[in-house]
Amino acid sequence: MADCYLCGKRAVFRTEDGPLCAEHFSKWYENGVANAISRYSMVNPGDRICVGFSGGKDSTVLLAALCRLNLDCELVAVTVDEGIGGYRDDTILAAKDTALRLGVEHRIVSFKDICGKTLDELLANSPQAACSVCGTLRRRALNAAAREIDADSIATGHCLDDESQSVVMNYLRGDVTRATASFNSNSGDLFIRRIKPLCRSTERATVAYGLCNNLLVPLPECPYTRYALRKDVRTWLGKLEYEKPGTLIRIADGQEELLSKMPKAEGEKKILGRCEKCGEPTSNKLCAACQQLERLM
Amino acid sequence: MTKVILPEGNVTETEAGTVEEIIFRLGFNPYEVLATADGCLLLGDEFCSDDVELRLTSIVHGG
Repeated sequence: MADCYLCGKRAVFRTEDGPLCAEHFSKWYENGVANAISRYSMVNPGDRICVGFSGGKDSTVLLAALCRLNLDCELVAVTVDEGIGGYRDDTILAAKDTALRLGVEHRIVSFKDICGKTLDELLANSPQAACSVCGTLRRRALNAAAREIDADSIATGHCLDDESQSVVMNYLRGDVTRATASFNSNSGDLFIRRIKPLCRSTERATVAYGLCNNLLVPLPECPYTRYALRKDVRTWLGKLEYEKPGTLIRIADGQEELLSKMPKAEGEKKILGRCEKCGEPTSNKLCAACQQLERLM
Repeated sequence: MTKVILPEGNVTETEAGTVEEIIFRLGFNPYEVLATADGCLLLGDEFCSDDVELRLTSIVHGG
């Protein structure tokens, strides 16, 4: 058994600096989130932040950590009910309970509200497309909710593992547009700013923080996860992170450095307009959500 | 034998050992699983004797 290197109490988590007890680990984790917020200038004084809050591990920790940081901002938690049988009902109950405990305003929006069908109904004949369809419609739902509550930004629970997995997935798909997204997109003021306060925190530390602070309840897995490329990449990178600690942060830092050294490709910039059907920002006639819905309905 | 509650809720038993040895033995990647006993997080090199009930939590999230 190791002791906390700061106070000598029983250690619960080993950081790169040394083992920490539950109290010092929680502080260390919250400092990491605060540093990420500062590093990327995510929050301005007085901001109203729409927190994407599924009720799962990451978004629960995100909401709790933002509350504990006492930022000069207002938080509104928004849960998107995709309509996934045997999965979402439990997480919505957990989300309601957590928001109530943390004293945060909580709203629920559903796919049924925005397109008249649940995700299960939309995917009846093509479950393999689940993550792509769900991600696109969830972004639409969160954008709409954020506009409704007049939010300055949308905070999501994407952690370091998600960011590094996305970098690798973009290369595996040969998707140069997404791999260089921060330089060839021009969203102007049409999109509400996205922030990812957990982007420098590993999934392992995030879940450990949730366990240390009694924030997590056992919840079912999304039944569509098995179709995702991300699942394979996650397993592969998880193995590398165990064998070569620091792999995840090196991928994220490497991508950041690569993008900072790339010249801005003015010719490739996509100028955003409005979707002909729903009015959402898009560089095409129809936004990605309306294109998905046209294919599925 | 050490009783282990697996991430999906099933219960199994395994020989005593360190947390990391037990996680490996049960086929998990130690990076992707956290172990608790009596609600307290355990480090990988902590030894779990026969009377310990170990609960494994997967760090992997839903979708």
